[in-house]
Amino acid sequence: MVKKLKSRYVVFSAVILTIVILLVSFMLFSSSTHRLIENSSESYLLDSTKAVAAVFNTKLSDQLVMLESQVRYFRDINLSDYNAMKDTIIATKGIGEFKNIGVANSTGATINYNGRSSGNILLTDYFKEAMSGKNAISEITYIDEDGDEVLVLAVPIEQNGKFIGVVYGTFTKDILNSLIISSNFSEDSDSFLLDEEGLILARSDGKGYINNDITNFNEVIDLNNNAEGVFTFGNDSSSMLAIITPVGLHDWELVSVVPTTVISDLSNNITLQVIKIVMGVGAAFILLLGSIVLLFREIRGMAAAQARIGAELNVATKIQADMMPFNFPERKEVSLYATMSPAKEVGGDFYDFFFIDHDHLALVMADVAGKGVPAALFMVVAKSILRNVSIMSRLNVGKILAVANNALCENNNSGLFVTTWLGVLTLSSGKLVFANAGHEYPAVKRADGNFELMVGDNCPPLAAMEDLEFPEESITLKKGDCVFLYTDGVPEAKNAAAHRFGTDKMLEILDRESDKDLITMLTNMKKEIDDFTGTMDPFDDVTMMALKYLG
Amino acid sequence: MNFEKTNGGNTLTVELIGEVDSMNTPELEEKLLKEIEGVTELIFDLKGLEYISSAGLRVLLTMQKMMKAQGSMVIKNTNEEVMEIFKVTGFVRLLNLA
Repeated sequence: MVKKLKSRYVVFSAVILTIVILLVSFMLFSSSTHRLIENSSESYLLDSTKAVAAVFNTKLSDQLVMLESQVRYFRDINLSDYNAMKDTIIATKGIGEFKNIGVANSTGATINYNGRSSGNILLTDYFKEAMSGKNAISEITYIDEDGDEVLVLAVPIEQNGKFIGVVYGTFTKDILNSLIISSNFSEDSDSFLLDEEGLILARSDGKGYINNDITNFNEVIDLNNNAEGVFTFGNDSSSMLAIITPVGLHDWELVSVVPTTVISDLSNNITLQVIKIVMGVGAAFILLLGSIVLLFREIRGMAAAQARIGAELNVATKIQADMMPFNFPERKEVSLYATMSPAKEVGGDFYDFFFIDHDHLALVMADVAGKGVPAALFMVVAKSILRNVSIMSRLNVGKILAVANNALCENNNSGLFVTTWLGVLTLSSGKLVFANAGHEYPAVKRADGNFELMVGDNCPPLAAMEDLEFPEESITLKKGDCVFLYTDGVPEAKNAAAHRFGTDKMLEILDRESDKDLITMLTNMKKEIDDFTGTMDPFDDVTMMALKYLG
Repeated sequence: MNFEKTNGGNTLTVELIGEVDSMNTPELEEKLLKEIEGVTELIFDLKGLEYISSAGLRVLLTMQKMMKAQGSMVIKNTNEEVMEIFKVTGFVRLLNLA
């Protein structure tokens, strides 16, 4: 239970930790991303505004080129002749975006292609500039013959290396506005062309970010030293960005105005995508964690089942061990001792001893073929049948085995059998009557000799086949004689080199230990077997019983 | 272990090699039960067998009981070591040793 709580606590902590890590990293990401997006957006807006300015500038240059094309009509005209100048300009057709195209001679006298004069332009900046041989765009706007506020573009007329006049074209504010509008980069922005004083020369105010009443951009933002850059203005509810860049003409500037929400919307949009990803990753992680928890539960369940089976086997081993009597008889005629060391998996070895009457001691050494619970159960049945038949029937040894054999053959569908050595010792006389149903030959030591295998004509094991007969044999023990009974776990104990312990080594050790007490003898035998097998798990039960006849 | 069927599938010869113990008897038993169908003569050739545990003996006994109903079972070429096991376990009296 403690373990369970602990693991739950760990899983719970992991989930919480995951959520916290995701939240923190998201917040860090969000703020740094916002800043990053803001920076990159600002530089994008600045670049875009520069592009607008460049496009606008190019458009003005295009218009100048168009004016230049009109100069050819005046190459051979005497511009001092006002009427000739007038006739020629009227004969030309309009070109470009201009409201009016006109011509001026070196005195500043003008005439446009509608036959009207724009007055004398001798003192205007664009006339002076054009007469010095350069294409010119007026630095400020002028009021034309119709009272319209116009920007004037002018190109020089050259005759024989001298500049003798100019061709000029006028842009009304509407035309300028349309040039700005067509240069604009974004539906979200408005652009403004400012002269060096901040006066708005042209505007694209489709969005209406800046009130039409405002004629000077300084009313919006202080342009002092603000030659180029991104500036914020307006209040919190309608915060705007002004992106200012020089046009590259006079000291004019182009301003793009966008609401700051353009950036924050972009940032939010990206943030939203990131939230989706973070949530997806988080969900996937929690799902993974959940699967791991389920998997661990399953494994734990399997381990529990394994433990249960192990426990069952332990119970079987315990039953097996508990079935063995350990209250060894304390009689002056005999000394008796036995041990059983079960293998890792429960086997089917058993020994037994019991008094049939005061003078008759029965000894059983047996081994059920097979392992596990079936073998253990078969062992329990075999042991009680042998004991009951022996005590109740008062039969001789051979008959006991025959009766027990038929009893065990009944309902033995799994083909189990049990090798059994049964002996009955008459304590008063030392006569040992025995029959061997397929069991290992006992080792016997006659008083002054060595241990020897009591090789006989063994019968098949019990339960192997019905209606078998088990002939008896007998020996008479003298004082000091010793009988050693064992199962195949002793001679067949295997070491890592696949060698078996063998009966020769067993007999050798028995001889060595023969003058010791039986407990020491069996303990040392077991120790020898363990030393022999080394690190190998004991594969079979090791069961031994020794009897010494004391006379 | 080797399995060989002759005589039109009526004779099954099983060659047991090395050691037959509780480690490999499940495999032996499974194979035998799969092959035994229709076999009237089952021959165990123990020429190469060095050791047989009680688990292995159990298989021989089971097969003998089965073959009693459908034919015969014989054990050939038993060497000295294995014969000793058959003697100790009393199997010499159960098995048909050729």
